[in-house]
Amino acid sequence: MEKANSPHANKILWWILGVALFLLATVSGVLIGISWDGGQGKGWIALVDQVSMFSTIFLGIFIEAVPYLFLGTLASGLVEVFVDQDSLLKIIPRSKLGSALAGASLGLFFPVCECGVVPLARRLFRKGLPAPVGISFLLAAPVLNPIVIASTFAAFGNTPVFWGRLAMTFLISILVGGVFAFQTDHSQVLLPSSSMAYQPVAPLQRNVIGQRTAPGVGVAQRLQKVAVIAANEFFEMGRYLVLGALLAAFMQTLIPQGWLLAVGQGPILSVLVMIALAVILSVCSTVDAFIALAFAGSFNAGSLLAFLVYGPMVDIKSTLMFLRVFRRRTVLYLVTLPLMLILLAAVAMNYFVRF
Amino acid sequence: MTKRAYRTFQSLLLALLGLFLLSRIWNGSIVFYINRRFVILVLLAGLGLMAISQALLRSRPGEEEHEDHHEMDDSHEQQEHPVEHASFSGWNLAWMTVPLILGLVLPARPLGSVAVANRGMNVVAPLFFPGADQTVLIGIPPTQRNILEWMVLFEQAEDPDEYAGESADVTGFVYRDPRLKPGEFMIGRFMLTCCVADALAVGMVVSSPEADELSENSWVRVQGEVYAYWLGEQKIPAISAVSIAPIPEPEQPYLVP
Repeated sequence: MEKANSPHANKILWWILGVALFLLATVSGVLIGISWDGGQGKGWIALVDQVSMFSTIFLGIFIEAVPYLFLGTLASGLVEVFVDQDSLLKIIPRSKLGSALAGASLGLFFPVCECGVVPLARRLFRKGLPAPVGISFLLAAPVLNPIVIASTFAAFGNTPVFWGRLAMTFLISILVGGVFAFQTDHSQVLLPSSSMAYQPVAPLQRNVIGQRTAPGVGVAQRLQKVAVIAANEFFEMGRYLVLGALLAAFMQTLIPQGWLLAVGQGPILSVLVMIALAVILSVCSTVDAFIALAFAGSFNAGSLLAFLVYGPMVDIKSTLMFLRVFRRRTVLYLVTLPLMLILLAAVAMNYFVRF
Repeated sequence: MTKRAYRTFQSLLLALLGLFLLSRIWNGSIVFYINRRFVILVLLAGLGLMAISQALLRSRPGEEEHEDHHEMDDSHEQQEHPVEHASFSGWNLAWMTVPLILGLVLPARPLGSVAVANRGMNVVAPLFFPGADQTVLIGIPPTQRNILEWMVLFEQAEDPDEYAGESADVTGFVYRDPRLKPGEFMIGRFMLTCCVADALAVGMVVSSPEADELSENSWVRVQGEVYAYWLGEQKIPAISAVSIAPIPEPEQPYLVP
C-alpha cells in the first residue's frame, strides 16, 4: 500500500502546481484583458506588477520560514546522532494520559515552529516515540514553546486570548493525540518510513555511528552526519515549504482580502474566516500573534483565538509536510479534528464569554 | 543521478541558497520581504546553510556510502524501484531552485499600490501593535510622526479635531482610493509585522490642487496641515498639503512597528 503512496503523492503535488500555474495564467490573461482597454500597453504593466507582487510575497514567506525550517532539520539531525533511543523511551510515561501530557509539553524543550516540528517529530517517531505522543507534540509544540509563549504575551499580554491560546492548544493536542492512542497498530497511522521499524541499513549504520564509544568516531564525524541528515531533510521538507509558499502567494495575489473580511462578521462566520485566513496566510507560529493583533480591531476574541490555535497546527505548508510522515487518512484526521474542536471552542467563546 | 552527483548538487544548491539570503541582506533588499527584526535569523540561516554545504562536500566518499543509502532512501519503495528513486531525488532538489530563480530573475521590488488594490487600504489603525500608545505618540513632535502614528492618535483620541491644525510631514506612495473625490489622494505605506504575507496598507487622505497630476504608486513627501476628514461614518486623519515633493523610494519602504 505504501509503495503506491509516495510517487502518488508526488504526482498530486505536480498536479497542484500545474493547476496553480494554469490559474495564474488564466487570471493574468483576464487581468490583461481588463486593463487592455486602457491601451498604451497598460496590460503588460498590470501583469508585471502582479507577477512582481506574487514573487515578493512568495519570497517573503519563504525567507521568513527558512531559518525555522533549517533549525528544525538541524535539531532532527542532532537528535538522530546524539539522542539514544533507549533513554528517549525511558522518559516517556507509559499511561495514555501521561504520554499525551508528555507529548504536549515536549515543545517546551524544542523551540520549533510548525515548519521545524515536522522533521523533528518524524525523527522522534523513528527513534521509537509512540504515535500518540508524537502527534500531541506535533500539534502542541509550535505554540507551547518558550519563543511563541513570549511573543504571544508580548502581543496580547495577560488577556483571555493569551491564556486561551495556551489552554486550547494544550487541550486539543492532548485530545487528538488521545484519539490516536486507541489505534495501537502504529503502521495504520504512520508511513513506514516514519516508524521505528524503518532501519533499511541498520547493521552498517551501527558499525560507524551506532557504536558511540568506538575509537575513530569523533565529534567531527558525527557532526558531519548531522550535516548530511539536516541537508537531506532540508530539501525533503523544504519543497513543501516552497509549494506552500507558492500557493499562499497565489491566493494572496488572486483573492482580495476584503472579500474575506466583508463576509467575516458574526460569531460563527468570523471564526470560519479567521481559520481560512490562518490557512491562507501560512505565517510562522513564532510571529502570528502580532498578525492576529492586526485583526484585533475588526474581529472578536473567539475568531482571533481560532486563528492563533488552528494556524500553527494546520496550514498549507504544514499539511503538505504531514503527507511525508503520516498516512493520508491520518492527515485527514489531523486537519479535521482540530478544526472541529477549535470551531466549537471559539464559537462557544463568542456566544458565552463576555469581556 | 549518482549519489556523488546528488550530494554535490545538494551542496551547491545549499551554498547558492545561503549566498542568496546573504546577498539580500548585503544589498538591503531583505527589508522588502521581512521585518528587520528577523534579519538576524536569516543571517544565521544563510551562514548555517553554507556551513552545511561545506560539510557535505567534505564528507569522504568511503564513509558516506551507507549514510547516503540510509538517508536518501526515504521509504522502502524507493530502494525497490531505482527509477522512481532517481526521479524523486532530482525533483526533491529542483523545488529549492524555485526561490533562487524567482529571486534572481525578477528584480526585488517592495509591495506597492497594486497590492493595495488586493488588500484594501486601511484608514483606521489596527487597535494594537507593539508601541501603539497615545501617551507615547503625543510626545513625538508632529512633523516626525508617520502615517501609522497619526492614525493611532486619531483612533484613540476622544475628539480627533484636537489635532487639527498641527503640521504634518509624512512620506508614502500615491494611491488613488475610489472612495475619494477629485483633488484628493491617499498617501499610503505598508505596515509589516513579520513578512510581506501579513502586510497591511495604511493611509491618510491628502487634499491638494496637484493631487490629480501625481502618478499612482510614485513616492512623495507631503507637508501640510492636519485636519479630520469624514470618510463614511469615521473621522480619519488628512493633510491639507502645502507642498508635495517627489522622492525616491525609501530604503525601508514599510513601516515596521
